[in-house]
Amino acid sequence: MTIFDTGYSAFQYEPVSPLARIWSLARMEFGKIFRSKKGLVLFILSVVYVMVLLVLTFLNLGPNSEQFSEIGRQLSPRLSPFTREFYLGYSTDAFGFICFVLLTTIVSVRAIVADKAVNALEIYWTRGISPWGYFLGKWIGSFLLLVVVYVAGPLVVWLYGLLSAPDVTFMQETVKFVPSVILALLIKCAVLSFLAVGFSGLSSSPNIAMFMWLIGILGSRALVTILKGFARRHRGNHPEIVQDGPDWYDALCPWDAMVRIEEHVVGITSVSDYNVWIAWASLGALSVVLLVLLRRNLRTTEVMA
Amino acid sequence: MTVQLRDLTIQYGRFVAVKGVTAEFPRGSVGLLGRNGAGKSSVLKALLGLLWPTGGQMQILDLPENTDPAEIRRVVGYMPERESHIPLLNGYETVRLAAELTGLPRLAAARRAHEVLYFAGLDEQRYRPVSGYSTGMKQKVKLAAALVHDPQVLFLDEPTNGLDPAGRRDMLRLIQDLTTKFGKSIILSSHILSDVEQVCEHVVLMEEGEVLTQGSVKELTSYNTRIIHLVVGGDTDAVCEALRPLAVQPVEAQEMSRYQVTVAEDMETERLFAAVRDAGGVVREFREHRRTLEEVFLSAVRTAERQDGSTDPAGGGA
Repeated sequence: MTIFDTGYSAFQYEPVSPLARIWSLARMEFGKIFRSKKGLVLFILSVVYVMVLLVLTFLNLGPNSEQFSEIGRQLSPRLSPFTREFYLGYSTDAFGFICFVLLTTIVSVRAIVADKAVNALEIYWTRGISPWGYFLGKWIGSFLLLVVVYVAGPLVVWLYGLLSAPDVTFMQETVKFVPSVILALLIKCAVLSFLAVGFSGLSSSPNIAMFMWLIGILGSRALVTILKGFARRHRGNHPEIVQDGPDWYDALCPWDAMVRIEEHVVGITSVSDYNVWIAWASLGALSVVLLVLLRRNLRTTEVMA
Repeated sequence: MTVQLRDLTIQYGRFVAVKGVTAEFPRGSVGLLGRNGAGKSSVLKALLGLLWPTGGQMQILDLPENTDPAEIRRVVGYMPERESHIPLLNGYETVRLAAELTGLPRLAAARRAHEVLYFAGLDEQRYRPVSGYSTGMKQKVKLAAALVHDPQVLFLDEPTNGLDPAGRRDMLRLIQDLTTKFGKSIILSSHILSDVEQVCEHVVLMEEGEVLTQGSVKELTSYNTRIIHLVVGGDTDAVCEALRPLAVQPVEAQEMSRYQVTVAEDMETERLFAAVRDAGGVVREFREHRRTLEEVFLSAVRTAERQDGSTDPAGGGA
């Protein structure tokens, strides 16, 4: 007799822990990007950069490595797998930024608000999961997606470098900074996915959520530029010398604040050299505001008509 | 007893949604009836542990009073009223996720999801995205998701909403099977009274946050009375006067010569014919019918309104 012959039957089970339930939700959230063609294309686009890094690693450590290493070092440290900029580049440059904005806008920012749009919260919250457990599951799922793109990519490239390097020099030179690079990338993914899912929880429709998020990321960058323009001042008796507004204005943009933090963690001299704690304070304040607002928005009484 | 409410009060700010409700939901299928805003959803929310009552007590099965809401939801299955699904998931994945969120281990959740989907009547369609399902199929997925962890009690909120007659019949049959064959207790919240009458053995009628009446469907619909529709000829006013002493409720004149008379269950029909004859009338049509739940509900609402009117000083005791 198969289960299909039985119709309905009684069922006994030992419930799993709350964390296991949250993990189920996180897995589902992570897998969502692979369920639509649009998501799949976006994911492939996001990992194209890893392919480029793999090719560069091959050129730097392969048969003609000496030539390429020399050229690479002369052009930019980002072209050499022996530098920390090489691994961190994707998460700080323009292409990485565009991919990040697309990924978060289409996946992370829709995490909660898409559920609200189809009343899925009734399904979640009337099970054994609390609103905060639900939020945590969504956050972990979005975090994992960013980790696969921004952390796993460079890690795979580094492992490939280890395996293809002709001697231990590569390992000796890179092992000193790779853990800090991974740590910085993990922090970045965690903070930004939190913000994206937080924005999602506050919004009433997917379009509003995407708009708010783009304002939060792109708009804040534009705001920084405008503020710096206003603050631009002439220096003393030398009107030909023009000084920009203070660097810490960059901390008003979550992305730039996060770049400052990751460069600090990895030990790269940052272009905007302000105190890293200002960046932490900016992101911390934004996170606290989001949590307070989420507390009002994610209430169990809101489910069920 | 499945659920017991004692003086349950639920308040949202200053608005009192449920006003000291005391009700009993025995094992089996119980209908929770009422118009929109009657307080049904608030009661269900409280029972599911989604909100804390302002006052009173609730007892679900044998669970202690301050049981953790997650534990309550482990023994309770809830089928929401509104169309709800998880974006991008198919039927099988939706039900499996519902199982995992309730606490089933992964493999057991997968096995169980197949089983309940089969029971609910979704075979091959289970691998299609739920967003593309018909209303009937969506209702079935919701029922399967409510059943997947084998709860002892099921809260079904408007399970036949939006279904065509065939889909409605299927859904009611499934619900009936759950109580009769599988021993589940069901609390069916609905305003489609004929559905409730078909499926439920007991009902609790709510209006404006209060319980109007409660009891077994059989008792409420018989209510020790018979309802007789009469079409009479002759002096209708005199006939109406003659019928009045026999009726246990005011005689309702529906048209010129058409009356609805509610008489005691044990009253002999011959007495009614005699009364009409003695008043100089003649019975042209005689039809007796059982009270429907809808009539019980409307009658209870009217009675409550009359009582409110008589106790309301501004109402002037209408």
